[in-house]
Amino acid sequence: MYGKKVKLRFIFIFALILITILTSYLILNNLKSNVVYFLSPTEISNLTEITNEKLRVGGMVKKNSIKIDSNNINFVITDFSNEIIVSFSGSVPNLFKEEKGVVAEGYLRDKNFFIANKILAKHDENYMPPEVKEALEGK
Amino acid sequence: MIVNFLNMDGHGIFVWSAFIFTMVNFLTLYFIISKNLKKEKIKFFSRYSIYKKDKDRTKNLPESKETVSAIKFAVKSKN
Amino acid sequence: MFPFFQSDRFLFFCLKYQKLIFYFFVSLLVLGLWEGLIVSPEDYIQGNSVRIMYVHVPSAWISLGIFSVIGTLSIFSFVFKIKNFLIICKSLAPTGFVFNLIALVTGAIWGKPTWGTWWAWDARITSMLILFLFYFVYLLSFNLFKKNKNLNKISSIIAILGLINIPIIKFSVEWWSTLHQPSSVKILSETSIHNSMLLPLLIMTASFALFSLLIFLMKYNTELIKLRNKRLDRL
Repeated sequence: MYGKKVKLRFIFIFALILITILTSYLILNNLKSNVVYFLSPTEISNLTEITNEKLRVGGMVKKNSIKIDSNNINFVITDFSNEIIVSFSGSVPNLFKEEKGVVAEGYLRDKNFFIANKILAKHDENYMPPEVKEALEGK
Repeated sequence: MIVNFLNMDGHGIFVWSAFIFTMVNFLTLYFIISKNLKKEKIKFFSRYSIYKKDKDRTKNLPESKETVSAIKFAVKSKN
Repeated sequence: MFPFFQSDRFLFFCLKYQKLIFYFFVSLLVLGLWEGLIVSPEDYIQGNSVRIMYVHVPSAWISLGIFSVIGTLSIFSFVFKIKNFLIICKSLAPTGFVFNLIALVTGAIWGKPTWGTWWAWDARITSMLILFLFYFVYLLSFNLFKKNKNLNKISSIIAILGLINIPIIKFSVEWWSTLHQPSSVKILSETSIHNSMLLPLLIMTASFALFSLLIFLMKYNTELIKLRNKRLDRL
């Protein structure tokens, strides 16, 4: 039905798409540590060695864990199976709150203690007006 | 009240700059595209008038349905 | 093959109603801005900065959609050598490029008050930047290889390579841990945006889509007249 050239071009495109999918899969798999923006406390506790590299820890700020000293903020990041204590001095974003997502950037001192030099708030996918939030909480 | 609305609890500067950026981009894109369209139309009419005078060469012009209807719309929306 | 596309019936139907599309776009845009900036409530945690979403999300959706169309049409135009598809792709690209730029910039503006940073090299944002580069190279290829007879091949291959990036962008927030939140509007499960905020989002999406249709029609018309001019030149 189709000419030989059309078939050839079709095979070429098919091979091109397959090769790109394969290469991008391999690249992304190998660079996994770079593609992942932050590690969870569980992944931190599974680390075999503690390096001096800068890394990011993300999770939920544990309830009632924020303690503010003179110019230091200490809090606990949890993923509900493991926890890590984070120490930070500086100003935090407005959305930094208990039981909300957070990403801390800094250095690991040991598996339970993290010194952050930057705090980012992580937003979740829920959007609603304050009245609706209150109604939900009242339930 | 207007100041409150513009300020948006301190987020105003972010909200307004995002919306203004969007609208400026829309306008720029629209004007660039419509300017190019006008330019091509003017070119077309100047050439078409020369070509019309010389009717013997009409047969040589490869006509296709698409281009004929494109011209119709170009003529219709001359302004 | 594809008589509907070659006869352009749909496109000329749209060209006829170009003015109508324009007025429809403007009225939807005014309605969307009114809903988004004034009527819709603030978010319980982001406050008023949630309003940036009404320009950010539609732009991102449309730039992704347009690139998907360009990539798919490019496969056909490469295999079957359909010239019209190439012109359609060329006319679609500028809008997609501008929408991609808007998505990146408004995302940065939203990131500052919400996350506390303008930019983060997380998977979603980086893959969106890669899409932006693809758009740029794609548009550039039409200028660089204007006189090259292999223009169709070159631009199609760029678009097809870029097509692989689309699912990566879409699923980046699910496959890897990113700073960017997962998608809120889902096809299969319940949407996690309250209706009062979903309404302006959908209105803005509709008006942005109409805008991209309008720009596409104008650009497509320009390209057709350009072709005609070339033919007249040859006489």
